[in-house]
Amino acid sequence: MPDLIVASDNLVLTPHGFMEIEELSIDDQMLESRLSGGLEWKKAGFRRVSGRKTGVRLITDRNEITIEKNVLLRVIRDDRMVSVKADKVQMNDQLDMVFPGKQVNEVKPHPGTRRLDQNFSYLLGVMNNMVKSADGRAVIKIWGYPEDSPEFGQELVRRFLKVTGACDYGSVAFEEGARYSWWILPFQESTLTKSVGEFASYLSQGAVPPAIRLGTQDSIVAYIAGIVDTNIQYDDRTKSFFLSLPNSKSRLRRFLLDYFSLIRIHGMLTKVIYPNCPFETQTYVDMSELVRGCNMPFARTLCLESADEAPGDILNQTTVLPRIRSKVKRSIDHAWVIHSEPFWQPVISWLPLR
Amino acid sequence: MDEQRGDRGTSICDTIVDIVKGYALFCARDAFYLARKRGANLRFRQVAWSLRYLCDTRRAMRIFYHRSRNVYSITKSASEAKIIIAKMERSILDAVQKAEFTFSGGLTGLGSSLAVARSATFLILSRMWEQGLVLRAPAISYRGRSFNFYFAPEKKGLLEKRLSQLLDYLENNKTALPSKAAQDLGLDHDAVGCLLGHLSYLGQVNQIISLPGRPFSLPGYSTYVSRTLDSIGKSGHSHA
Repeated sequence: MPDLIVASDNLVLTPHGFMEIEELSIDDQMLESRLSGGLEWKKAGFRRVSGRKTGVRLITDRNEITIEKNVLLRVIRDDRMVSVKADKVQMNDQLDMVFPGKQVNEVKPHPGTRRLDQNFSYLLGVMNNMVKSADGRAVIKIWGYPEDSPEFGQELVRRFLKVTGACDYGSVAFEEGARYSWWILPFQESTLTKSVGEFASYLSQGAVPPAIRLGTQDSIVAYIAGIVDTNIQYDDRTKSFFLSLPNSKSRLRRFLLDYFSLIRIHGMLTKVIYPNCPFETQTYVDMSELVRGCNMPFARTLCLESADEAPGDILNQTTVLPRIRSKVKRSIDHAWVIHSEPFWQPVISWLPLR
Repeated sequence: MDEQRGDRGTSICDTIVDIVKGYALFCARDAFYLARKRGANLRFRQVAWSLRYLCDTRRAMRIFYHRSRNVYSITKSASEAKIIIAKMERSILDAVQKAEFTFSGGLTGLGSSLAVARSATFLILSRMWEQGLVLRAPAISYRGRSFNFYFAPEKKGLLEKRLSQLLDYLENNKTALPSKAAQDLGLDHDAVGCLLGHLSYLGQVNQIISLPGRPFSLPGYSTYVSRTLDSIGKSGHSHA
């Protein structure tokens, strides 16, 4: 866990918990000690993205932070230690420390950062799993549970039509494989890639676009909803749901873990699920933990509001809840799940099993 | 009673020493499989404990410890064992540099000439991967099992190139059997098997189970083939 993560507009995760930027700015002393300590981002090359009138935003692959342009930073440049002002930082400089007595301003989104609507963010999350079919159509790869995914396929088509305005070439088809299943959408893959514009490069690299990372809470949640929708799996042995994020999606996984930590959902661990896939780690999300933390915004939208199907609800966009609900219901019918089990009790009490 | 137990313990140790005496390096798993092969009715736990006892009594020595497993040696001194490990690493590096992409099975087979048992060789290989001397990538076999293939670090760029080459091949030919694709593209058969397995792991290709050899294809083609086969079957029945 890095010492300091600046996540969205004004949220900071410190070793002492979750804090707002304003509080940190007041407590000058504490912030200095964090910055001059051994941060994770010291290891990563960081780059200057934009100079503003009052501050400079520095983005590493882990953090985004805005500081006054006159703040002196000690950086390692070409293996030499030099002191430079924040606005003179160059690409590939390694941050060593910030000189005391300076403070970090409130982090604000870059003015050029595009504000994404929830549908678009959701589809960006889904498109992390997009591949090309034999006839050039867009295919969404999911983990195979054909019985609970028709809703998902239809929902995807509806939303792609709404957001991208792509031409509909026919019906959606489902194909099952040994390991994955695929939803073959009635759109050309090239059309969808073109319609997302500059985000296509982030999708191909498996990285989270800054417009999401620096975006509003709504767009982050919708993006995560898209990822959850395509990557959620049900483990028959442990009778629990987990997100499947293989090692190849390490950057995405790190973003998710950081974000879940930020909203105090700690029921996650990375573990080996299948004994015959010993080198594939999966990120496991304990759904009951999400439910327990439902006073937090993300958990509330995921587990409570969408169950009530309130209008305008963010996670109403997803098909996760109906799928989870049908799985839980089936498990109860087969007596696989006992109501009094501590794992299932909160899930059953929060999810109306219609 | 205690004497009997003691005798039995000693005889198990002797059996194990006898079984592994042809190997310079081995681990408990190797000793267990060799014992089973020779018909000795031993449990894995017994073998592991006996090896620990042999180390305590200095009849065997732990050479290195990796992934909660010990690599032992009986006849060699520590310095000789290090020389063997160095030779093993060199031959693995040679093999990895000669071939584009190789299965771990082929690399673990290299140990036989140096009298290194199979699991011990795998541990050496795994340690080399952690040290960054070789790279590996996951793949799925045609039976749906997961495995890793290995390659030299300088071939990381080549992996991307070959994968795009294979995707182009699949777009043009619709299906790909490793042998046929290797012949058409002028590549090594094993390398093509690894790469197709890797694409399958990434979810970019599917397998057509209804066709012999289970050829790989891009998603969507399997449905087309099964529909075509169904329609042929139906028309055949109607003619009959």
